[in-house]
Amino acid sequence: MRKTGRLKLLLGGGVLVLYALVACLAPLVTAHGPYAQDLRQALRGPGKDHWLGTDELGRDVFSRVIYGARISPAIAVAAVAFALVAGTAIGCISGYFQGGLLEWVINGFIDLMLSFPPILLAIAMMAVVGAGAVNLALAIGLVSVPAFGRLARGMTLVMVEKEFVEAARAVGQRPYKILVRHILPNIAAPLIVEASLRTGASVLMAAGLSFLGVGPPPPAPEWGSMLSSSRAYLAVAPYLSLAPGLAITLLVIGFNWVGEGVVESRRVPLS
Amino acid sequence: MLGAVVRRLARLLATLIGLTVIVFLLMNLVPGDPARLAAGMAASQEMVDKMREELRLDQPLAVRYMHFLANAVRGDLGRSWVSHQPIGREVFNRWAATLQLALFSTVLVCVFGLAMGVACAIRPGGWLAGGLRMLSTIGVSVASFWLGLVLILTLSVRLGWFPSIGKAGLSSFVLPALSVALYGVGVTARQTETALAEALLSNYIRTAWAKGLPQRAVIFKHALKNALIPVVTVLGLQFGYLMGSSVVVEVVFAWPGLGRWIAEAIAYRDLPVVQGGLIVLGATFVVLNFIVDLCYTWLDPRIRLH
Repeated sequence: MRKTGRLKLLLGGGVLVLYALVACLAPLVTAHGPYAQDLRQALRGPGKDHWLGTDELGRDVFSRVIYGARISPAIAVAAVAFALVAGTAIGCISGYFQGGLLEWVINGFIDLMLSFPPILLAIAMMAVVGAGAVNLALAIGLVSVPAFGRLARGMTLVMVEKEFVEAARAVGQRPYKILVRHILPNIAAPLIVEASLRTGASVLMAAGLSFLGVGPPPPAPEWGSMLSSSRAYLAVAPYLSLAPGLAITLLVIGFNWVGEGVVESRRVPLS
Repeated sequence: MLGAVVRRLARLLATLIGLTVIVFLLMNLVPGDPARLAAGMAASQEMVDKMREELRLDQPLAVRYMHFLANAVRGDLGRSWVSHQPIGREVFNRWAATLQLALFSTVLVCVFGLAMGVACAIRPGGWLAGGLRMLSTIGVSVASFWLGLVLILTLSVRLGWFPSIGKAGLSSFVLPALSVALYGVGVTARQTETALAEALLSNYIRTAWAKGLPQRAVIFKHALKNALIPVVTVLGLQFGYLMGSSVVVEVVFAWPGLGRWIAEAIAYRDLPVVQGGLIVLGATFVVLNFIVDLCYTWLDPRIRLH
């Protein structure tokens, strides 16, 4: 179990590093730009000049997929970073200051948000704030806050009963210090694991919402919107639909393996 | 026992009301003048003013919410700003289409997810288990709308086995349901494997082995029954999740469902449809979770006897 865990962690981490490198070094890896149109070369299949073919405006698909690695992961990571910080803060506060109006309000809010299918809630928010990368990250982040909130709250409730917390309280330490110095380091690990898994799910959500048209507007090489435009050419240019989807899948596998790898490599083997 | 059910029902009601409040508030935060949007860009100032009266826009938000809620429970969800027709009936028809797809998908999730999970738990070290686990990982990592596109490409355009779009007959359910279900299959397979593997290690199973019971009886009659408790919860949640996340698949397959209608309405700024659709789908999700919660309590005797 631990061996496969470590393997997963290694492979997943490798995938993520690969994507990060590709995103940073995009100009070095691609011969054409993601926006360069050449209408005479439109809808050509994979070949020497264009490794993955060209789209309906003659743009190089390979370049667009590579440059897309700068968009979707960034949105997903930003969303989860926001959700991690906000959710942990809300959850810890709710778990520490028990039995009060604040806790009741926070819990009610978390439960209410969790009672919505996440993608619908995100769609509703996007309908209000409008399309775009930043709005998308914000919407996905907001939708992911309750999961972290619940997790942080559950663990804080357990930590609060521990003796070292009681001791800190007895010595007169301020609640803020207790939360940051004592509770937070002990609940960090499961939160990080959840963050990794959530980032994978956020990539899928970002791609899905871009597919629906509420993501970064064209001509941005976002994988989801590339898949959306590829629909019209499914019969004549099927390769347009394959590469962006594979890019998404591999990235999400990477995030999932990192999260699962951490869990599995720490588990004590059963005798 | 009855007190717990009543409390749960009260919570359900509160959640449903909270849901309508949130959706109503969100829709009223959308920029733009609702009266102008409802009357249409070509409408005269007179018509816009008339629409303003009809929508009661000069009245406070709370009053408008009350009117909306009173109408909604009677099935009147307002008129589309595009077609100017009442949307209640259409919402119901589309909701039914989404529900049917979700049901079909849930059946797939049950059959394949459980089968895969059991297979992995029975023979954990084998190559079958390894392959199935990889399949689960891929299942939860693949974008459902991309899978839909790939399935259309291979099984519909190339091979012609299934229709590409629309809802017409049983065969048109297959590709959309597969696209939607794969994620749930992955989740269920993992959940089943974990739960069953754990159950197989417990004392009462060891007793069954020691008693000399045949392998099939031990696994299916004893271990699986108890392992199914968390799995059923996951399955129930999957059904609700499927209803919401089928939006993108509905778009890919031009499925006449509620999710796709909402997505289109957002593009057209047809807010009553977005509002009504979100509330209906959200409410379905909430009620489904509530039922799953009740079933879970009923299924697990340890909880019941508390």
